[in-house]
Amino acid sequence: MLRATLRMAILAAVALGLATASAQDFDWRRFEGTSIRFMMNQHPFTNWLQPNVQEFEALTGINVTLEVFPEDQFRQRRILEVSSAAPTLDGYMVMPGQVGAQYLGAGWMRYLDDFVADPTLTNPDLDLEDFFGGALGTFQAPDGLFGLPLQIESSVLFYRADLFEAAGLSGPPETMDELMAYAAALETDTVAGFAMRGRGAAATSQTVNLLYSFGGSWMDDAGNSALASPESIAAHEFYAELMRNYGPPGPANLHWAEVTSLYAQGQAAMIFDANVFRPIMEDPAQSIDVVRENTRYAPLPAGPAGSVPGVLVWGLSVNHASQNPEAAWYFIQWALSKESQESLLLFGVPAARASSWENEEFQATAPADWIEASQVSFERGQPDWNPPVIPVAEVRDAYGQAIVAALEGRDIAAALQRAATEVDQIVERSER
Amino acid sequence: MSALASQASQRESAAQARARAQRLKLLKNVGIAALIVLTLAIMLFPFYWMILTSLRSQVDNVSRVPVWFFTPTWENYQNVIARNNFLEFTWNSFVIAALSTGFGLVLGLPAAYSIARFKQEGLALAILVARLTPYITYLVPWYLAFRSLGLIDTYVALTLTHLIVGMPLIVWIMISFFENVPQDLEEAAFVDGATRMGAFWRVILPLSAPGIVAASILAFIFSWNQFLFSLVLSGPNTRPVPVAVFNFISYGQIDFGGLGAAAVLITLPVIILTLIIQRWIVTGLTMGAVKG
Amino acid sequence: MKSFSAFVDKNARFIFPLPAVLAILVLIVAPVVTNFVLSLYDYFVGGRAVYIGLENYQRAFGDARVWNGVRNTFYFTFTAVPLQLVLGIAIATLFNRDFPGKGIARTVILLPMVATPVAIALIWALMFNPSLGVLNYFLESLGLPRSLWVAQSNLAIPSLVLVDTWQWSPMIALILLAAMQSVPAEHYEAARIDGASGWQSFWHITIPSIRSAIVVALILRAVDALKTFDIIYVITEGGPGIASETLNVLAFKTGFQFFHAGYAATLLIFLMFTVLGIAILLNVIRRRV
Repeated sequence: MLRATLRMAILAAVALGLATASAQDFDWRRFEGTSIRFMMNQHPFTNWLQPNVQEFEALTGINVTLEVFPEDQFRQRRILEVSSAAPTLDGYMVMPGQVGAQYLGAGWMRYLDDFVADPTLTNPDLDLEDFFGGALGTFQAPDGLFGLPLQIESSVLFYRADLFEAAGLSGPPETMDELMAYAAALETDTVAGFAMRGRGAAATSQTVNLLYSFGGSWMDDAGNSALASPESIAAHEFYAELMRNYGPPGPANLHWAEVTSLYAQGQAAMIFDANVFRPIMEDPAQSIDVVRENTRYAPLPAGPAGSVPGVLVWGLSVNHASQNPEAAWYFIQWALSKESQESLLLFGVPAARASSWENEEFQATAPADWIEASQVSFERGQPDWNPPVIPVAEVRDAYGQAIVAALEGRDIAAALQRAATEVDQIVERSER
Repeated sequence: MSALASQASQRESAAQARARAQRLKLLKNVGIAALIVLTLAIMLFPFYWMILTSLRSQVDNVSRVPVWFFTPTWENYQNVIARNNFLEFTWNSFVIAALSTGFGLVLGLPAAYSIARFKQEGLALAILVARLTPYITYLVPWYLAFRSLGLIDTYVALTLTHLIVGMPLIVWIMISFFENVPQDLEEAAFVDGATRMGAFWRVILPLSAPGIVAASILAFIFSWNQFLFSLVLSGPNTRPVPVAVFNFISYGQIDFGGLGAAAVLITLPVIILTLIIQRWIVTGLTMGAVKG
Repeated sequence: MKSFSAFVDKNARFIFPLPAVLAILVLIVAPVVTNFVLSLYDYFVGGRAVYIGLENYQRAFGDARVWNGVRNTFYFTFTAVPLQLVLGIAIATLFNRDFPGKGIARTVILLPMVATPVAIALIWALMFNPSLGVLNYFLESLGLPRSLWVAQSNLAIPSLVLVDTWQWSPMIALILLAAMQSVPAEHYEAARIDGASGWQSFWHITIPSIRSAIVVALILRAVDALKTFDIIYVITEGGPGIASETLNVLAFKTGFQFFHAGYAATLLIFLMFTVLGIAILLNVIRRRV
């Protein structure tokens, strides 16, 4: 106890020392009085950020407005404002794996290299090297750096140890075949054996995990859609069988909110979704007691091609039309500083800085299996969790129709073939 | 004796028949009453459920078997109002509805008067076509135009577009009002030296005040309820309640209570206004085709 | 000043409607014309705009998704409107009598049609939820199997029709009620003396007398049903997949999610002609009745 206190005191002193040292070189109050607006996804990062923004405002005298939307609308609003070059939008959350190609292609990205090179604009403590290479890499285009990663995320299996025990199952399923067998064993009248997303376009970021693990890919070597490949068909047949037999009613309606709600209310024994949803399962206002006490985590079970999840990187970018890009850059530096990222990780969001994961308090409080499942996934992960094309929304929509068809028991191969043809047409039109 | 008896039995059976008829009538009335109650119950249930949801905790709201009796909580309302700037959105809705109704009156009243006086049926038809055409038809060009003018997320864009919702309504309701103002009154004003504008302002409008109130409230309600235009053209500075409430759909978990509370808050003003002008609702919804 | 008033008085028929006409020209006619121009372009919002002639039209005719939209639009409209007509007539008949609380009852049935559609749609979405919704609880209480409602493709449109019917049957009822109340009581009296049953007088007196009100109600409802947006977009967003995607919703997605303004304009022209065509058709029928 005493030692812990002592350590805290030393840490605090060191942190203070660093802060004063850097404060001498770096003027946080240079843009005092400026107002900036960031558009944010309704995401655990945003939940962490909102109560902490005052700290930044006190530090810099910059006034921050956070605009928060649920994901689908967030994307829609963001493209509306970014494409119309709204000068009052200063920055936003973004997933390069989702819209990077589109935004870069349209010239909508504000490159930050000039800021990074300018010691009066960039805090010497920023330390770009500290970000996970894979995460920072998604923000590095041939023409420069267009943002910084705030989190690296991957999907993991959430499961209920108590239900496993009752069904006579020991650890988590390690292969896809086991996953199917476990789901069958766990299924009851009121509890679904397994649940994951199925709502068309919104499900594609999860089904991609199956696609990869069955050896499939988005595109073939010639750049055509590979959705109708034998591997892809096998993956979707597995998905359909799993969800139709052991999923909750109406799988084609499941977005992540439905999936996590079902699990948090004890109506699903296993779910597969983003590891960032852990805080929901630990929150007494959102989850019932048995769920909070018995949730365990494991990586994606292995398919014929191994366990290959998609990893997804969220970050912050400066709007190309912003009138206060420097103040926006200040905000990003602060929001993604080492201290912030550490605090974010303690909040339960997988931070994008390697140093954060070494934090002892985090190692002591976060469930070991969640840490392990997350790290294993980041290691194995494939960054293209979205089709690497410009008209992503349209392509996901076309693929989403095949997902619904599969979930409703229609001919899977035919639906995927239709989707593949449509994807090729969409891409061809967009390249005209 | 037998005649008497048969008379008596006849009387008796007549009484029986009357009684049976009465019973039948009672039965029929009970049946009708039951049907009326059932109809009303179906019409009211979603509102009842909305209120119930808004007063229940999340755990009660997602229970597999509905929880009908519980201790009401105001937490959902507090959350919606405090955490989600609900009052700001309400103010936006109010400003947009009031401005568009105001402009709708300024443009619509003279037009309606002219249509009524000069029998300009072509114009009336043109305005009707504007109401019949799907609103979304206008939206793509509007969006492109407002975008290039930098008017996205301004009251200007939303007022102008909501004008298209309110003005036709005002015109069509007021045509029949103006037609019913006796022309003698107007001519008497002309004899006294009034100009047409003067007569319109001092004679016609005051006489049509009840209609103007009804038309304004209707235009206000329609703007308040408008979703499509605001979905595309509003932004952080102007977002009205319907779009804000729509944002609740996948808010973290499915926040049933928050949704219910938001739905109650947005619907309440409309219901109050409806009670004031209920006679005119159908007239308004049918563009004056049916008199309330 | 004098001459100005004189000028206004002389030209009142032009000056009075002028502001409204200008507004209509700018806000309605101009966008419609713009749509025709846009439909000739491959225009990606914020990106390229290439003139492609009639290619968008060609593409639309061969686009299975467009036909799916057309089918869904008609399926929705022609299921919802007749159902609402039947229920509307039934409710009007039911309410066309004196009973205690009649005024309140009439107010109550106004509520579904005035309440903010987004709020209504959200509440129905909660009630439809296959695992947690109250509708399935009712089904179970009645000994019926649970339903997937909007979560299943072939039930999505029928479920949306249910919402629309709840919302709009009362309007038809109120339109018809107004018409029924203007049927002279003597007609029914005469029929009763002739020994007509209640059903007969309904069929031979009521219905013919309210015929034109029925057609007016049909026109209004059909036109509005064809362009229903709010409840469909909020409850299903056209899903599952594209199972409840109407032309309206497809055009919205094409324009504001996929940002193909040119193709969206083409679809909107389709939609506009469909709606106005049906309005004109029904109006012709109305003149005949």
